[in-house]
Amino acid sequence: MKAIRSRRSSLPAAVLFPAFGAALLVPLAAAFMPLFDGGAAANLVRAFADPRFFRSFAYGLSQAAASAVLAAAIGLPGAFLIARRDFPGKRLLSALSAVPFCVPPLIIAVGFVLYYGREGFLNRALMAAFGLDEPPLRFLYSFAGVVMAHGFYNFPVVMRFVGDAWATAPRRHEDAARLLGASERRVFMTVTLPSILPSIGAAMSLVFLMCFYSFVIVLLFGGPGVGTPEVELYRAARFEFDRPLASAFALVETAVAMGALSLYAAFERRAAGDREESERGAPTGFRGAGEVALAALYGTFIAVCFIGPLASIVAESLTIRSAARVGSGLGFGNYASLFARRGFAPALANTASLGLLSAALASVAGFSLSVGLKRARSPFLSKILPLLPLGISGVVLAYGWSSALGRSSALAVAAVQAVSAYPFALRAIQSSVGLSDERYVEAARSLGSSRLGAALRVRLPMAAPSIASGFAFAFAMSAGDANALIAAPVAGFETLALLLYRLAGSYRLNEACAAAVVLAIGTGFIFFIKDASDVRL
Amino acid sequence: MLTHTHGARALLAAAAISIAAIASSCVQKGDAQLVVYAYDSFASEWGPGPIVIPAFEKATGITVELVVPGDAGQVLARAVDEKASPLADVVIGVDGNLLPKALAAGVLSAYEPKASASVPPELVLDDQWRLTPYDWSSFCVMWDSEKLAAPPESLEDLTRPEYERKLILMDPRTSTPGLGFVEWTAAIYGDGLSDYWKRLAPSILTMSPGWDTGYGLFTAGEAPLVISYTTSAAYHAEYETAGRYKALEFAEGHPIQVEGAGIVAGARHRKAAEAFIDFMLGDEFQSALPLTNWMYPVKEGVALPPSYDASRKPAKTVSAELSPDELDGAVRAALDALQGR
Repeated sequence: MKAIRSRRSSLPAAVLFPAFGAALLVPLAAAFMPLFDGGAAANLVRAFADPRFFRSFAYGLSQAAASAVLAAAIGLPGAFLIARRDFPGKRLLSALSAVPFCVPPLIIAVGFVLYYGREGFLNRALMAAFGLDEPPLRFLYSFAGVVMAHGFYNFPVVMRFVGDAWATAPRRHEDAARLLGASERRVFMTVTLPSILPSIGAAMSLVFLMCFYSFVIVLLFGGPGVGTPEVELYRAARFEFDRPLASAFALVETAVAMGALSLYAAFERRAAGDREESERGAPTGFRGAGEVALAALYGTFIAVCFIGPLASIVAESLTIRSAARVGSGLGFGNYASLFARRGFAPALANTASLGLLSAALASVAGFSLSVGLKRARSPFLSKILPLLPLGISGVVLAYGWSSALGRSSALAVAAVQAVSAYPFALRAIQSSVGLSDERYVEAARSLGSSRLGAALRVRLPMAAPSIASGFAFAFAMSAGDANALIAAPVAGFETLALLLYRLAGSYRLNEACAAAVVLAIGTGFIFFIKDASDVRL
Repeated sequence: MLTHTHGARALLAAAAISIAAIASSCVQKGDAQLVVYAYDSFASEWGPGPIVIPAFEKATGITVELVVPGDAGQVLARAVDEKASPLADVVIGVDGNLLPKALAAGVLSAYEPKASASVPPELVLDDQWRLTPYDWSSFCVMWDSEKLAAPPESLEDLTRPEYERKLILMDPRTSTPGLGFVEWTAAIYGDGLSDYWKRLAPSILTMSPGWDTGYGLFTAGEAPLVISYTTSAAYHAEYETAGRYKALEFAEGHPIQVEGAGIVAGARHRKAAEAFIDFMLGDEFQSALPLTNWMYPVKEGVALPPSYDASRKPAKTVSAELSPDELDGAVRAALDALQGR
């Protein structure tokens, strides 16, 4: 009887898992296939023989590592505040999590230029305040500029990941330590820190990966002629039509990323283990004036350094360039002309339906698989395969998709985006108590429920808030992603992200900024609602 | 719990609606009499596509399916991938740098259009007419006259100390104007290219990955000089009045970019494809280009809109006449010079 039950219960996973594996591995295989064109060894030798390739690797690795450290330094105080304190503006801080996923790097780069640039807001303000003739901040177009942009762009990832872990870190242990007379400092170092350390490691490896594959920001700020493996890959694939060479670059690049990915998986495994004894305590108000002052300082820092560039995008979207281009005024003209475009309404509808569909796919699959994977034996199947989309370059995936999909359809694009968003959905869902605590499921089963029934009636409702969180992530990623559609365009199917790139490419930067604001409000709103529902729970 | 069930239902309903919406938008035209592959900005709302494709359909009664595989490089890549059983009849957007690759892959077939004589010989990229040019423009440095009083007058001027960090270029590995600028320096400096780029390095603020980002920084006032096309000045003249942004003419001469279209070898609708190439050199198609593609029409005698008075055609045209391998070598030399190697 038991054997039959378990077979039935693994049915959804048995269907979904190969489907997801195929959706990922088929385009990947298609992308690597040209490597064998003329001998894989010869192509690899060709890649290694190019000194530029090593130079770009050294640069790519060092900037990604430095960016991950900076993102962690900025993100950790935020993680604490989100997990343990209640304060006005908390939801706003939390909604910033949408930024690295849904605001395209093109727009982030423009925001940084408008704010930190030589003619940027901050430099003009400083020059006016101190009567300077030259802009005082000149770090933007350098290694430091790349790291700054990456660190600020990605700190919300650390804030979110670590904040989730911090919120569920076992209070009992902290209280026990306090009862035994440990100082707050000692409680933090010996109890709290060890319990959030895996999530810090996981978040940092993730930021490392995202920066390693970064393209626009590195080229724009890194100084003329600088290169990362992704740039060399792009050149080989797009400008030289040398696909065997591109595949060789991609293979080496993917191998490095897999290293970071296994690190991420290892940290995540430990973090997930810790979550098994987690409990969610309610955040409290600030303790003392010192804390308020520090929090205010942190808030100001985030506002000046991170909200500033974002606000510059909003300001740019509200800037009306006069016909004479000498002066400019503020107004909603860019929005008016954006909304009036005949492509806008369909793009909005398409973004919403594509986002909902890929988010639904990602979270349904995330839930089924996280139930199913609890019993998988092979570490590759259960740990690495679901995370693979994180470790593969956007250019490689895009190329693989377009050659595997052939004439693509929007449904295929939704599947592709669901696969990319799936690691985040899975992570959010796996963190839920309903999945880690077996007692409730055992209780239901002892009352005669089947395993599938227990999954649907016990695990699903308990996991609902985490599924919503995974859904929000997947929606933001899908809505902000133009790459899948650029790589495998669907005739007559436009989205907001695609419209944004087209606007920027046709002398309409202000309107592109307006589109970015619409996109960010739409996806940030989902996080806002999601966090509001968390408060209620 | 109640709210969760509601939430789950709403989620399912939303998913069902979005599946229906997406499925309905995927209906393919299967009965097209001509399949055209074009690059993104050609087919976009602001491009020539929405004007010239319906005009062609009206004039000939041939229905067109316009497919957009991506940028011009992706258009060609798709055609190469489908070489064994071509789906496209016409590919649009092959320029001088892509042409050798297209010819080497053997994806284009010759057709000399009826109006071939109306195309000036210097714009004809292939004397066998495997590619028919439809528009062109010159690369040039655009100048923000409000931020910089004295503009440079030559490539050599750009290296002067007063232009330190005043020039925005695009990366030649990822962008067409970026590659065009390297070609320009190769045409003027030849073997001295590496030295020139070493002297130029201090003037470069940044090399953006694409034209859009670089030109965006320029109009945001980040630097007063940027590499673009002379026809950019026409764009500003069309929508703005003061003439703040001007195209600079350099005494050494300017390289040009020519864009063309060709019939795919083994095209399923050969006759319709020939009709399209002929239509492309007609007045209706050619006169749509200046204000949509922001390039000059190739056909002589097509009237230009008044805003094109701001875009002077440079008196002298130069070409580096490089093979694809030599151009790649020039890109490497320029980048190595910037990295101080």
